[in-house]
Amino acid sequence: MATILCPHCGGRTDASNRHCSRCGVTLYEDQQNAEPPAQESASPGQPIGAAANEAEAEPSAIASPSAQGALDAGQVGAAAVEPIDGDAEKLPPAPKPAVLFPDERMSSEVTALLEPVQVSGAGFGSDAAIHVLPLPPSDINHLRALRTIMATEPMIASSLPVRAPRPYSYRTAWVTVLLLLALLLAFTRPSQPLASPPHRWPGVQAAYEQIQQIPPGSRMIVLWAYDASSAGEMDLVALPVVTHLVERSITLDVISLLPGGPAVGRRLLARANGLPPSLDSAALAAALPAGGVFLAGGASVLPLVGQDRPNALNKPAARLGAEATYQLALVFAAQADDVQEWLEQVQPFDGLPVVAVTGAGADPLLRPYLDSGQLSGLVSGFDGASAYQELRAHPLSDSEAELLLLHTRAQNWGALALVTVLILGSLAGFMARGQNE
Amino acid sequence: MSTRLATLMRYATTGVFVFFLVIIALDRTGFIPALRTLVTPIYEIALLLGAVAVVLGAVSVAWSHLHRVQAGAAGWGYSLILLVTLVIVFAAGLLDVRGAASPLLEWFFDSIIAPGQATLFALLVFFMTAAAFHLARIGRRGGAWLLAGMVVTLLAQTPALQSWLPVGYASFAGWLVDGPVMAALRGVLVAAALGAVVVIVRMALGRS
Repeated sequence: MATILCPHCGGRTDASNRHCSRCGVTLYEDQQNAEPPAQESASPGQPIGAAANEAEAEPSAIASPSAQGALDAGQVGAAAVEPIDGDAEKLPPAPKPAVLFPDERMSSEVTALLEPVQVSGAGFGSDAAIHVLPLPPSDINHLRALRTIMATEPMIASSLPVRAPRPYSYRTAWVTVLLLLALLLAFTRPSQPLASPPHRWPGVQAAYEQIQQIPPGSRMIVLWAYDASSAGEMDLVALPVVTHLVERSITLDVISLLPGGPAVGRRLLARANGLPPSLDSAALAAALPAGGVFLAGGASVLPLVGQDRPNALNKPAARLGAEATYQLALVFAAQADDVQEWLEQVQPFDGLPVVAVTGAGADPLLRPYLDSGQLSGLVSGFDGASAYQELRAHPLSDSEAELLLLHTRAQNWGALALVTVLILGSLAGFMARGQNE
Repeated sequence: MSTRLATLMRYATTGVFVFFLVIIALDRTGFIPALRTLVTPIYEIALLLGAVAVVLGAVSVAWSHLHRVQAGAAGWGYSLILLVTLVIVFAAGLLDVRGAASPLLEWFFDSIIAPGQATLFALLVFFMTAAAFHLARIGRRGGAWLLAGMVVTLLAQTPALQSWLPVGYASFAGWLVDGPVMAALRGVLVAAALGAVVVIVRMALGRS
């Protein structure tokens, strides 16, 4: 008997069968016009039990297992298959299975797409014949829908669907507008003295006294731990302190763990001296003899600064001066981490008192160090710089004083704008919750 | 690499790590002053490694962007600008005997790098304010605490309000930050540090 290869599972089945004897997939789309696929030469073999039916004459009758195509000798399991004996005439006629999806292509990716029928019996190799029983209509529809989903190939869209642009939301834009308005008010209103002096936080007085005690002409080691990104705040905070140092003719040996740190220090020193920010200036070179040293390696090389400072600065000890002239260490940092690292990695070795000049955000983290005595002075934020400036006998130049006042005023407006944003944010949350309810 | 060699290298790495750890820890205690002569070169090696890492990083950036330009990848124009800028600045420092103190490098920093960094950093305040607007709300979980803490601290930090606030308000805000807030923060910092130590030890022992 002629056998065919199932396009789904590749198994051989009788050419007259409408369904594959292995996987049960429908082989012929149309009952009447179906052309059997490529047939191969008939191979002797034993018939096997399957849910296969006669295709032409008795589509509803279950083919006798003995009349079905047999497995070839080379097919897997062929040797184990026993011929099934049975009398087809005794079997009740099975209902004719409908052609469910005549236009559907068989997909090789989906396994075991059976017709929605219920098969009773022992299956292949059994002596009993297999009866094909119809399923209830509800189950049939469900299984047909499932088969449709599994049989269709996924469609790849050539382009993603274009979503309609959302209308611009003004909910968060007003936050930016409010901040800009606050800054505009701060910088455009005529400058006036502050109505009240800034709060003198603890540490400012101590920092001033520490620097005031240093003999004029001494050397001081400085860690410059901020770069141009935070120079907008830190330059103004550090300016009164640096100007104080310049007035006392104190020489600074600047080291930095940031590549841009020495350059920022150079600029601020030039600004404090009223000079152009170029190291060609003799006065600036005198105030900054080491020129600023960048130490690669981060905080891990700080212990070297405490243990072997000339080697760390790559300068001969004679040029730097004896260790005794270093009476104070100054740390200019935008963050508290840099000050903490100096206190932990350097101060235990050299024992120098440390004064920190930091941004306002670092103040809470460094205040415990001030209380414990590890820090000898702390100047933080614009108000700290203003308080330090008030302690100095010599005021800043008019332009610098005006700039410091301007930024302090901007801080006032900015803080009030931020508080307004926070309060309005809570109100917006209440309103949104009320609308949702 | 054979298993035996890999095991040997792992033990060697662990041994070197433990050796340096013990030496530096003993030196920090001060019990053996003679260790200072051994520890100082270790820090110098770290300094050299840091410098090499900086150079290696610059070379790596240049190499990757050069490949992007050669391959015509998306945004290759920006990579070309980066490479040209790198060559110009490098040449400016190399050709001048003053090195990093050359006027051209100083101009680069004063006119381009410093304003650019300051501009980018200044945008941070708008993002932080928008985030505070969304997060610090009474209705949100934990938002009430955030809102209260931020308002208390901001009012204490505003110079213009010092004369309007009650006497002792700034001290109260200072106590709040120095006491409960720092206690919580230090707990987090200690836990993070302990976690880092555990990770380092596990990496050294090859159990990462």
